[in-house]
Amino acid sequence: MSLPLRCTIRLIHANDMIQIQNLGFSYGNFPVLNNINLQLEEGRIYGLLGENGVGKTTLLTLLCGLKKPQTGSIIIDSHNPYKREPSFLTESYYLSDEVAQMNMSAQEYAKSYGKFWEKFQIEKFLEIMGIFENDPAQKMNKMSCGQLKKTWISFALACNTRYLFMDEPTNGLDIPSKAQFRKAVTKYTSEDSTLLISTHQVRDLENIIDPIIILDRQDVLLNATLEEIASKLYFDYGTEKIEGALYSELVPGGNVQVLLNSTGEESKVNIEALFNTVHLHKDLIKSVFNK
Amino acid sequence: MSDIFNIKRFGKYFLSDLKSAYSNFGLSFALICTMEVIVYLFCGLITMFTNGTWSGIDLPVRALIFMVSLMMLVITMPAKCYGHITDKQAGSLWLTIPVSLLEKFLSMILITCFIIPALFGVLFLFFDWAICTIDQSCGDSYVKLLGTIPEVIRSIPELEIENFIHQISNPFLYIDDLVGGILIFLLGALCFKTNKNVKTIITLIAISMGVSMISGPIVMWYISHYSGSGFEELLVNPSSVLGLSLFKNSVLWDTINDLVIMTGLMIAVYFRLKTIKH
Repeated sequence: MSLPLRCTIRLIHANDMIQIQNLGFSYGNFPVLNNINLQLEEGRIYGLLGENGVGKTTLLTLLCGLKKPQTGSIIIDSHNPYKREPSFLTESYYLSDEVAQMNMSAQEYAKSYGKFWEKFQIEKFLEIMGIFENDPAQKMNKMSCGQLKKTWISFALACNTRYLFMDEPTNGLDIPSKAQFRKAVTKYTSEDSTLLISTHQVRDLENIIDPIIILDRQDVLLNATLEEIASKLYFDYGTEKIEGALYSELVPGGNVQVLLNSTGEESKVNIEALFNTVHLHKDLIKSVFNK
Repeated sequence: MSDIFNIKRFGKYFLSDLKSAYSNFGLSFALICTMEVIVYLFCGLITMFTNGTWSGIDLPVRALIFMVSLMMLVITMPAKCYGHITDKQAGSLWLTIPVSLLEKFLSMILITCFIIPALFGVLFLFFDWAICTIDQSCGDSYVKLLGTIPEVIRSIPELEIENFIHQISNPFLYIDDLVGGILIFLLGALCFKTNKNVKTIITLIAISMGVSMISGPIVMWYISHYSGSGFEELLVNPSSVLGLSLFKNSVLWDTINDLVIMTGLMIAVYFRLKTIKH
């Protein structure tokens, strides 16, 4: 590669650590992702939302190199993930929705395999296991679904990777564990780490994900920070019904209504209401956010 | 740090891989290695209860146990050690361990084709030696028999038919066949998601039939062309057929054939690992 070209790529990557261009993927004749373009910045916790079957898991597996893009490209910090080079793998971790049961204790596994991630810390693993009230000496194939999930979350966070991809991490966790998960994510991820968390349980992650990416069938409907969203949409929590609201939902104690923010007034983003609004007004939302 | 091969990283991975092989296959391996002891004790107890005397197991039975144990090792070991790679969860974990493909491949080949079979050989021979030392009714141990093989081979006169037997009697000749067999089942374990061994055996039978259909007529033609008689001559006058260069150099041809197959299988395993997706 010529030097000027390499320098140009470096400049691009200084802001956008993950570059997805014209990405396409299909299962047989069934297209899942088509011409997807996304840029993910360093040091953010992205929330990846979308209906069932829109390709959230596919996108995550493409990002961590478990699948090969059929069209387009993914460049993460100048690496092609599918090449599965150790220098890339040591900086990334993928936590799948359904986690594996290993025939050894959590601590044994962490000691045996953690060392392959350059920045892995066994003390951190044990500390997070402690937060989750999980026994590291217990065999992983004897753990309950929730305990196993918490073990893998602890391992993923203890790897200290720059890129952490999590697929439905709160599935199978009980109510206290969801709060512990939020605490662990905010406490144990470094500032330069980029997290991409796919979820259906938006309330579990409401206070930690920012920006939000909403995937639709073969399209990206939204990729914006909460600040951008709040500047363009207004979330009203009053009791009176507002004419011309893009979305309205009756909740205990009033309504959640979403309107175009014409006054610049600030409001707290309700992710569930946002998701429904985006799905009801796809073209309008795209045009508002692409301005 | 190199993205292709790093000796320190390989060493670390190899040890973890060995540990993982132990936890996945350790119990089955212990059973396979001690098969002769188990059968010996079982037969001894049965004869004790029926005849009132303890009876050992003689060489043919021990040889049969060895063959069955070896087959069990070749068939079950690759799937037990590495079959999880085709599983979505465990396979995803394996693929994303920050170790290069070459290092993962080398570790896999070393463990399945060399370390485990060698350990099996040592343990099996040790248990056989222990049984034969404790109970003289079992006859000579394999260790003792292996020591006499060179003498037996030397004692065979250098006639064509004996030369053929002489060549194929060397047990070390079959090491490449053993490695080839393991590689076939390793490839099967990496290609099939379920019923790995059954599907591998069925595929193997189908391929063998196909190869026989092609190679059979070629060998027949070779024999009739160079010996001037048909394949039935082998039954009447084996020396004339076994004297042909194909059979005279059977060890060489067999070794070349096995090496080609082994190389092909190793390349197939490598590319399967390179292209596996979840």
